[in-house]
Amino acid sequence: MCSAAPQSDDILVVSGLVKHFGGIHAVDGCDFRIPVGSLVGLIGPNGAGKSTVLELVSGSYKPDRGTIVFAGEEIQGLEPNEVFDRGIARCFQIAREWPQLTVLENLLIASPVGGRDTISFGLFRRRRARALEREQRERALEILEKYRLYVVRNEFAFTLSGGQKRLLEFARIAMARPRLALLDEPMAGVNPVLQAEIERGIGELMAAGATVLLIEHNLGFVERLCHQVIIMAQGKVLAAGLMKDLRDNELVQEAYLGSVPGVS
Amino acid sequence: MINYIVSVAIIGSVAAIFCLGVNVSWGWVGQLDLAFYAYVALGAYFVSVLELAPAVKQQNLNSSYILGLNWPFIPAVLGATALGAAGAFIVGAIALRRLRGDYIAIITASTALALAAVLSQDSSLFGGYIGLYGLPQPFNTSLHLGPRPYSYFYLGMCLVCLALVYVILEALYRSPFGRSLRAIREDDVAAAAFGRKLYWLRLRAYALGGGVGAFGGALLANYLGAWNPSSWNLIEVTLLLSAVVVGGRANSRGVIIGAVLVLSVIPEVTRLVPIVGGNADIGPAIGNILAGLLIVAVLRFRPSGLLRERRTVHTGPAVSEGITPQHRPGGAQEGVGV
Repeated sequence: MCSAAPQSDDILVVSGLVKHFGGIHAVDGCDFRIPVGSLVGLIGPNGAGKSTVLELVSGSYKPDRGTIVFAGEEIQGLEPNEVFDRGIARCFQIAREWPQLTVLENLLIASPVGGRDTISFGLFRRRRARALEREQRERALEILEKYRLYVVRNEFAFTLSGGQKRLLEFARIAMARPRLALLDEPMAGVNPVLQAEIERGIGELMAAGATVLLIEHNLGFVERLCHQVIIMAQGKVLAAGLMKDLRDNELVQEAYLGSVPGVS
Repeated sequence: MINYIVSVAIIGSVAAIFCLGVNVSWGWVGQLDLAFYAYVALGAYFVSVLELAPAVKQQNLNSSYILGLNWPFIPAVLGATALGAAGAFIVGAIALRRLRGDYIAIITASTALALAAVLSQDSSLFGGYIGLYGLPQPFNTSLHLGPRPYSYFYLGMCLVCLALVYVILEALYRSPFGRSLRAIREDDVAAAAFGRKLYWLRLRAYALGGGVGAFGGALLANYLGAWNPSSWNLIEVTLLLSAVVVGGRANSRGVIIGAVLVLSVIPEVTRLVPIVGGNADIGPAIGNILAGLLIVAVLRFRPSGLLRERRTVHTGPAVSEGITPQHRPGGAQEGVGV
C-alpha cells in the first residue's frame, strides 16, 4: 500500500498558522503543504503543537493568525461541521465514541449528512428516508465486517474494549468517505495485531481516494508508510521531506532527544 | 367515583404529554430546560384567546385579552402549538447559541419567571391575574353530551392525542434526526467533527419539546375551561423532570409510566390519607415525601429509570461472507429491542 508517488497538487496548504493559549505559543508560525493522494506523517516531541494543528485544521480551534487552504478554499474559522462537509474527517487521540449509541449507530452518524437529520425528513419523507437509511446501513455493515466489529454492531459503544474503540474510530472515518483524513496517534496503546488492522485501514482509506495526515510517535511505522514527514517542535515546522533523509538531520535528532531549548 | 377516576386519567394523560415534551430536550439532547412549563402556559393562553370571542370590556373588571378569534377547537390547538413552539424557538435561539449545561438551565428558569411576571401583571395580554375563562367545551356544540359522557369523550380524545404524540416522537427518535440528537448528548465535539450542526439540531429539538408542551397545555386549558397564573408555576417543571427520571430518560414508554406514577398515582393516592390534627396539608406533604423517596430509590437502584433507553437493534443478515456463521443472526428485519 501507499506505493503511489505523491501527486503535484496540494490538497492542504497551511501558511503562517498561529495559535496561542495565553502565554503558551502552541502553534507559532506553522507552514506546510500536503500533496493530494499522499500519506504524510506529522511528527515531533510532545508539546510540539501537532495535535493543535489538527484541531485547527478540523475547525475545533480557531487560529489567531494564518490561513488553511483546503482544495483551493480557505477554511480557517469554519465550524467543525462545515469542515467535515468539505471532506475532512478526523479521529481523536483518545477514542471519542458515542457511548450510548450502538456500534452500528456510531457509523450511521458518521455518514455524510446531506440534510437527512431534520424533523421534516424524519416525519414526512419516510419512504425516501428509509431507502437512504437502508443504503447507509448496508455500507456501515460492510465496513463493520472489515474491521471485525460486525459481531458487536448492536452493542452500546461503551461496552467495547480499548482496541475495538480504536477500530471504531477508523470505521467511522471510512464511513465518512473523506478527501482528507486527520489521524491523531492511531497506534497509541494498540497491540501489534490491531496495529496491522489499522495499517490495513489506512491503506483502504487511501485506496478509496483519501489523503492522510497522520500524527505518530512510532518512527519505524512512519518511515515504512509515509510518503513524506513534517517535523514540528515548539509550534514550528523544523523540516519536511522523506523520513530516511531526515533521520540524520541534526534538528530532528535534537527535537526528539530533547536538546532543543524549551522542549522536554 | 367514576367521574373522579376519569378526571385523574385526563390529567394523567395530559401530564404524560408534558413529560414526553420534556424528554425531547432533556432525554434526547441532554439539556435541562426549566422554561418548559412556560411553553405549556403559552399553549394554554393562546388556545384560549384563539377560541374565545373578542374581549368585552366589563364594568369593575380591569382585564381583557388579545385576539379573541372564535376559532374552532382543532385550528386553535394547532395554532397554540405552533405559537408555543415559536416561543420556545425564540428562547432557544438565545439560550442555546453560546451557553451550555447549567447556564442554559439558569437562562430558561429566568425566562419562565420573567414570563410569569409579565403575563400575570399585564392584564391586556391574557387577562393578567384574573386570566381567561369561559372556554367552550370542544366539539360539544355538535355532540350535545351530558357532563359524564362528555368527560369520557374528552378522556378518549386525550388518550388519542397522547398516542399521536408518542407515535410522532418515536418516529423522530429513531430517525436520523433523533440519532443526531443522541450523538450530541453523548459527545458534542465528536458529533460536530462528523458534520452535525449542533446549534440547529439543539434548537429544533428545543422548539419541538416546547411545541409538545404547548399542545398539552392547550388540551389542559380546554379541559379546565379556564387558565390563569395560578394554573402554572416554575416548580411544576421539577415534577415533570422527576417523572422522567423515574420512568427512564429517552424512553418514551418509561416516561409515560413515570408521568402516571409521579403526577397521578402518588398525588391521588395520598389524598386518601386521613386528616390528622386538623392539618389538611398532610396528604400532599406525604405525596411529596413519597415522590422524593421514589426518585431516590430509582437513582440508587436503577439510575437509568424504570425502563432504560432502548437500543436500535439490527437483526438483518450480514452483507458479505466475512463473518462466521455463529455470529450471523437470522431474520431480515430491523427492529427495536431492549
